[in-house]
Amino acid sequence: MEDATLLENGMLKQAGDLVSALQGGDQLHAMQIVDEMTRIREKDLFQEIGRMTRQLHDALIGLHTDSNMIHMTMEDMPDARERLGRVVGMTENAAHRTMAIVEEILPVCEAFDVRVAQLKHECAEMGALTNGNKRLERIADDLDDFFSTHQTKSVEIADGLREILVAQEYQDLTGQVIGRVIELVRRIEDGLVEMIKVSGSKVYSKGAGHEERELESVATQDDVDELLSSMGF
Amino acid sequence: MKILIVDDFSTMRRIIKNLLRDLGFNNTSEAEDGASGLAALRSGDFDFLITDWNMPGMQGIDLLKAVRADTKLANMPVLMVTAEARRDQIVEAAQAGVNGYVVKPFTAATLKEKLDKIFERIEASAGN
Repeated sequence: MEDATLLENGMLKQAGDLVSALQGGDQLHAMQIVDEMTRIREKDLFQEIGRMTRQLHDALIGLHTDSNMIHMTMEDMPDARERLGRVVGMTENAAHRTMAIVEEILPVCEAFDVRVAQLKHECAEMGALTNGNKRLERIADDLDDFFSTHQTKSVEIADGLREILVAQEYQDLTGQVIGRVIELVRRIEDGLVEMIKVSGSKVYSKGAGHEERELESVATQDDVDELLSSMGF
Repeated sequence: MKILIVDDFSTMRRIIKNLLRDLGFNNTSEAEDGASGLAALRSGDFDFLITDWNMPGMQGIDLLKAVRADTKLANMPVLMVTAEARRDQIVEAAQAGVNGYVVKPFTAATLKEKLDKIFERIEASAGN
């Protein structure tokens, strides 16, 4: 704080001197003051560069001994990329599963529509042959109502199914976003690997020379049952 | 009408394929990047190209430029279906000679509308 005030006072004095010199027409003295001010500024700049260089040096030495940092770069970051990649794979599978079901159901709906149109026509024919039989007339009317409702609702069902199909585009859109995050993590990781190499620490690949992790997930219900039964459950 | 769908996401290829089938276009093929798309276009008898923009390897915009630069393919109608919605990108695609531009997420109605518009223009120019 005191240093800053001293520096400020010094600068104020120099500025005052510079104004007086210029007002007095003493160009030579004015230039000398400007040179002096520049010199002080450059001295500060070099001191700052020196301080930053020392900090960088200390940080690199620190990195050499910081096993957390190395662990994060060599294991956690590749692991994070792999997990994100798995999310994309899982949503892709889920989207395809949904679309496969829609693709199966849509033709079934269309086949029903064709059959209902035929039956509606036949029902109208039957209605004309009831010969005043009230019960048969009512049945023919009921069937006709049902077929008409089916035709309206069937359009809604098919539209809904197509909507479900198009909604699967979320997988593409989220997949692209996740892909960009994976790429970003990979670039940061590459940068850190280079820094670790510069610091003189040993770089290793994820999993290399390490024992297989027991955290691996099992694939299917059969695998779960098998694992549990092998453990005596 | 034989249509090629180029997109790196299998989900999107399947959606577009289904929508085209609903619109009566049953003859479709798929490619997962610009390079294999271009190879398919050169070896096949396609009438129409639907392509994504952002793909690994050859991007959709480069595929469009390659199509326009190829004497045999130069007149092929191209519809771009992409999440890239920046103004400069749309301008770039237009300058490269795209026939239509659909931004994801899109609806079946939007796709139909853009396809219809392209066909109308082709018919109008054929009539002149």
